[in-house]
Amino acid sequence: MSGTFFKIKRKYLLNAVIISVAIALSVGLLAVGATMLGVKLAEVEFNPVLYLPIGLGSAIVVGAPLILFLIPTDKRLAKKLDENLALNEKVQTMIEFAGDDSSMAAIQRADTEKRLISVPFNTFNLKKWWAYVIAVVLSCAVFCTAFFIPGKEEAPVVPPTEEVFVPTDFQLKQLELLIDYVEEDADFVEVARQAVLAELEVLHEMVKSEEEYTKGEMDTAVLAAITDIHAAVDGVNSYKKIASTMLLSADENVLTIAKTLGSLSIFTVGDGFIKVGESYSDKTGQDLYDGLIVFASYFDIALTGNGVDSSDALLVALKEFPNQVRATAEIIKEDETEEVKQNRISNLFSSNENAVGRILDQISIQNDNRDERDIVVEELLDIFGLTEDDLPTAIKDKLEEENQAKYPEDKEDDKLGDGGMGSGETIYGSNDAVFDPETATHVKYGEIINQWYEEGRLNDGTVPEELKQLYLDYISYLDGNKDKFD
Amino acid sequence: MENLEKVQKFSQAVSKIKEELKKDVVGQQEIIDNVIIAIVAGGNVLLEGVPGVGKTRLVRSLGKALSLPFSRIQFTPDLMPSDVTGTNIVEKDENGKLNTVFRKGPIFANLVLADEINRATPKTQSAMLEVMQEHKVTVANETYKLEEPFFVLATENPIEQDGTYPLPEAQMDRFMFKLLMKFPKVEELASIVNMTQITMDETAEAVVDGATILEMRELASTVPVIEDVLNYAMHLVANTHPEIENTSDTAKKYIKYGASPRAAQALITCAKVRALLNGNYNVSYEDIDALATPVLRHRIKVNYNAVNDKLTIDDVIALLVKENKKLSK
Repeated sequence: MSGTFFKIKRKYLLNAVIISVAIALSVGLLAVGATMLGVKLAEVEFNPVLYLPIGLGSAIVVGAPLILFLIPTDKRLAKKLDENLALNEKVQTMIEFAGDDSSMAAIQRADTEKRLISVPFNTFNLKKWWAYVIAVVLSCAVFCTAFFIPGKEEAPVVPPTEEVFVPTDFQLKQLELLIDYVEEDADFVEVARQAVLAELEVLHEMVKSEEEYTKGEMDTAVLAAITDIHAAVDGVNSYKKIASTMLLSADENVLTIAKTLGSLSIFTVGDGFIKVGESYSDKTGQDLYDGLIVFASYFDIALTGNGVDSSDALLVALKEFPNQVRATAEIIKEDETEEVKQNRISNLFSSNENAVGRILDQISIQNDNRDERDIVVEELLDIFGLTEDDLPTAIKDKLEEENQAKYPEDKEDDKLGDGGMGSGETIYGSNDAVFDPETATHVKYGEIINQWYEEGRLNDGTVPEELKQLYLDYISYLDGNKDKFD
Repeated sequence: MENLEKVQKFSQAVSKIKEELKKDVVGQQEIIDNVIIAIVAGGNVLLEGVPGVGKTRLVRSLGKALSLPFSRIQFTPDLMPSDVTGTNIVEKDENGKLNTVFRKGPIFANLVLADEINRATPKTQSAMLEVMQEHKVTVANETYKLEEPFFVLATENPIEQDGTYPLPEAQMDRFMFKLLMKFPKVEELASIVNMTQITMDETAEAVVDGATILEMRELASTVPVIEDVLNYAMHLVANTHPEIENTSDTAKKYIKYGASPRAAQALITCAKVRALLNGNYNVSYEDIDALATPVLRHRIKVNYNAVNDKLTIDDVIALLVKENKKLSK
């Protein structure tokens, strides 16, 4: 094929592509613009995702056949060139006789090539290109106009009016009773007590106040108070910090004790010490001495770097213990029977009158702080209609951690359970004993029920009438005697 | 390239012929071009024109320029066929023996001017048929071939209707072209008068010969025609027939009978020559359109609708061409 003809054909092909793209684009934009305009003016619902297939589909439906139509075949292009350049069918002849190797055909081709070359190449530039530009611009204008016309105004979303917190007399009374309890009866250390009271007073002021709070604001305030109460108790309970560094010890016996501290159970901790003491039962003489000395050293080291104030009572009690161990070690170097020595060691690790006893006292105090904290928190949740699920995540995670720490691995059978939702099993009350933490003894349901009843809680008007029966039923279940309070 | 030289030679030959003819014939450029086309294409021409417009002069001048033996036959009603073709005569040889010898008639030339051919009887006219078509003469069962190139240029005088015998269609069909020589323009008339004051004789000189004409004819036959142009020409001829299905409206309305296939042959053959004459190496629509009238003029007969609408044959052909152009698009 003639080189010039091929170049011209490429040019026409490019023109065809430009025209097709311009027209397809214009049609696509017009289709979308017109649809958008119609939708907005008619104020109808219309899925905006549909604009894409509308625009794309229109462009393809118009553009694809157009480009197929415009793409020049050799014959079509030859005819076009002959007409436009008045070449009297020279190009068509050249194309049709391209394979003819006769002399005349060759002369004809050469002559045509010469004539084509003489035509300025810009003759084949896209004619009336400005028309296509205008078409695209106009369609863009339609599209932009449709796009920026404001659509149907959506009705403003009116946030639901938040419920106003209207405190009931019951809530106020319960809160005041709680404050009284914390002030007079709760087993907090004084620092913690004052901190807890401060939080409860803030809530009390809010409840009493003339100012209106929304339920949300009240709930936020309660949860904030609970968080602060937890922080206050964490501030006085040092066991976690102490235990965390003790758990880094290389000594097995130190670790044994460290693991029990998280339970805050005097029994668990006490058992831990006893277990350590028993580990020396098979040692004698120098072995025994060395073992005790080494243990004391590790214990000392384990009590360092925990960040707890040196005057902290638990820390002081714990620090006293290794000194007693060393003292006992020195004593058992004396010439005594093995039985005597073992008794001394047994006393060292289990007696309530020495360091271990004081450690356990501090454990008990910190346990009380924690238990009282939980009582206060539970009451607050109850008074303000919240649940444990409403607690901040950090608090929930902490409670979970504390719960797990309560029951180290070798005490699975002592687990009391998490409380919360029951198993669904109906437990009937009995006169079996229930554990009284105040006295660390078991007391019967019946005594507690009587105490509660005698305090007049049921009949002093504190409990709403509609809830009285519920209370009675509950107590009856515990006692197994439904008719007792009729 | 050999053909390129031939093409150049062709162009030169044509230019020279035209130059020589200009010396003797004033104006009539289209006639000259068409006559040259017909000669190169190997066809015969029927020239119609009033007396004195230069028909004979043109042929004489052409004969001189082509350096071809030229003869003139003045057709009269009493002209016999043997007067045209020749006849056997009895001759005594040098020994006194009587022999039959064929005396060639005036037709035995390369270029024959058949003047006022429509004055001859049909019998004499038919004698021309074989000669014009087959370029040979048969007398007494003997066939004598005419030397190539052979070309008959016949003239008709349209105004003398008395004593004329219209040429039969079969004979008309043997003419490649029918050309109308018009009365010259005033300025041309002045040139004619001035020229003939000097001499009445033709002053053209020989510039090509018969062999050259034959070479030109062979070269022209190789000019390519694209299918579309070929179809265009075929449709043009076919659309002169009113009886054909889907024929042209013009034919249905104005034509009694249409052109024969010889018209299609003539169109293409002459178009090739015309293309080369104009410096083109392919046949175009323009060539077909330009030759439509001289090719079809004597081959189609118009009906009374055309007469009624005062349309001449040329007008009808023009309508046919216009309609054919529209149909071809």
